[in-house]
Parts: sequence; C-alpha cells; structure tokens
Amino acid sequence: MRKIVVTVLIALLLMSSAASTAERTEDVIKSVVFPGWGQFSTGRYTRGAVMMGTALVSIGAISGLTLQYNRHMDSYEEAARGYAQATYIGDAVEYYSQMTDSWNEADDTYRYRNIAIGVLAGMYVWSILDITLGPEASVSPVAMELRPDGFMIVKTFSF
Amino acid sequence: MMLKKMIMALTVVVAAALVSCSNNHGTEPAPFDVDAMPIPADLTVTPGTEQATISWNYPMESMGALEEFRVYYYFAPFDAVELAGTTTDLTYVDTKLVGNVEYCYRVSAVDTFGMEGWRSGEECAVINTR
Repeated sequence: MRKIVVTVLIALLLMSSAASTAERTEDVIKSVVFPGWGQFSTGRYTRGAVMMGTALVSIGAISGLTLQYNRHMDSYEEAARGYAQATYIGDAVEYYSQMTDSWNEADDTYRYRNIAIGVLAGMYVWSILDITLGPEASVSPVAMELRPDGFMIVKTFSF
Repeated sequence: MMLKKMIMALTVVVAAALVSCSNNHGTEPAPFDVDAMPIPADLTVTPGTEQATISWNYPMESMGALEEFRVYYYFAPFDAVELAGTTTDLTYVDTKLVGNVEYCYRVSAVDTFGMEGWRSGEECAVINTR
C-alpha cells in the first residue's frame, strides 16, 4: 500500500514539474494539503467545495468510527477476559456470545472506517490529478477592469 | 478531456477499493471450546423433619472427570441460586431447614479443571415440621 502511495506521489510530482508553471505547482501543493483547496485557487469553486465537503465528512466519519471501533474492541477484550476466567459453563457461553457480538460490531466499524479512508484518499487523488491534468486557471476569480471613467472589480465564477 | 475525467474517476474508485479491501484488524475469536460436564438427571427431593435428601443420577463414564457436585438452593422469583453444599456422592442431605417452607434445589457437576457444567432443572419439596 505504501509503495502505491509513494509511486503515485512521485508520479504527481513529475507531472506537476512537467506543467512547469510555478502557479500550478502551488495549486498542486494546496491540493496535497487539503482536497479542493487547489480548485478554489483556480476559481473552480463548485468542484472545490464538493471535494472539501466530502473530505471533511470523511474525516468526521473516520474520527467517529475510530472511537466506535475502539469502544467495541474494549468491550471485546473485557468479554474475552471474562470468558478466559469463567468457571461456570453458563458464564462462559454468555461471555463468548458478548465476545463474538463485540468482534462483529468492531469488524463492521473497521470496514466502514476503511471505506471512509478510501473516500478521503480518493478525494485527495481526484483533487491532485484534477489540478495536475486539468486546464490551468485561465480566469482570475477577482479582477480589476479598467474603464474610461475609473475601474470596476469583477468577480468571476467558473465551474 | 473525457479520457482525463474517466482516468480521474477510475483512480478514485481504485484508491477507495484498495483501502477498503484491507480489512484485517486481527484474528477472529477462536471457536467456543469449553467442554461441559453432563447435567445431573432425575433430581428428587425427599422432605424430612427439618431436613431434605436430594438425590440424582449421573453417567458412570463421566464420573472419572468429576471433581464434585454442587447443590444449590433455587429462588424461582429471582431466578437466582445460592450454594447449599458440595458432595462427590449422588446424594446430599441438607439439614437445619425450616419446617413448612418449600425449598427448591438445582445440582451441577464440576470437572477436575474447575469448570462447572449446566445446572439441572429445579426440584422442590415442603419440609416437615417437628
């Protein structure tokens, strides 16, 4: 898994250097720091918001599911201790049932957490590839337009 | 442009799949491996004067692994038990009981490792007075 991540990062760095513009490199770095930030810098607000929103929801889910997973594992270990020390078959059966229930719940939580990690990783990859391979920011989100009677601030939305 | 979008979407899916497939947070619990002693059968309670004689049957082939029998008072309203005494025989005499009171008993077998098997069903009797 680490090899894949390192390979992808090296490929992205090479691709970003191929782009050969300082601005693009800066945008790539922003996307590496947080998905969608680079898109915001290039004026693609909707896409950036989708990436950032999804990444934030994923981070929240990962945190919550990690806490839940730890709770299930604590419960599992407690039941496992009870099972190991049981001196009555009824207690052993009860503790074993608690053990398997806690284990299954921990297993499900672990799987959901991995999916959330996958979504977050996907957002990173999408954001970085989008910046690296996508068109450069052609329109500045905020610009000053000169007029005969003065100037005007122009705000441009690009999707 | 279409190809780039497809590559991006594919990368996202592959990344998510790679992470979510690595589901190995430890080894599963071992199968339940506690061998219980057989349950004492044909429990009878014979009331006496302020005492009761509790007797039961037990398979001879399991007597070799037997450490002791445990005789319990059983309190039906609370579904609770309290140890009355232990024996290695198939009979237990419970003394110093109160007359005109119903006593219920359950019996279990304990193996030489200290693991107590399932308790028998309860059997009750009203104790005679002097």
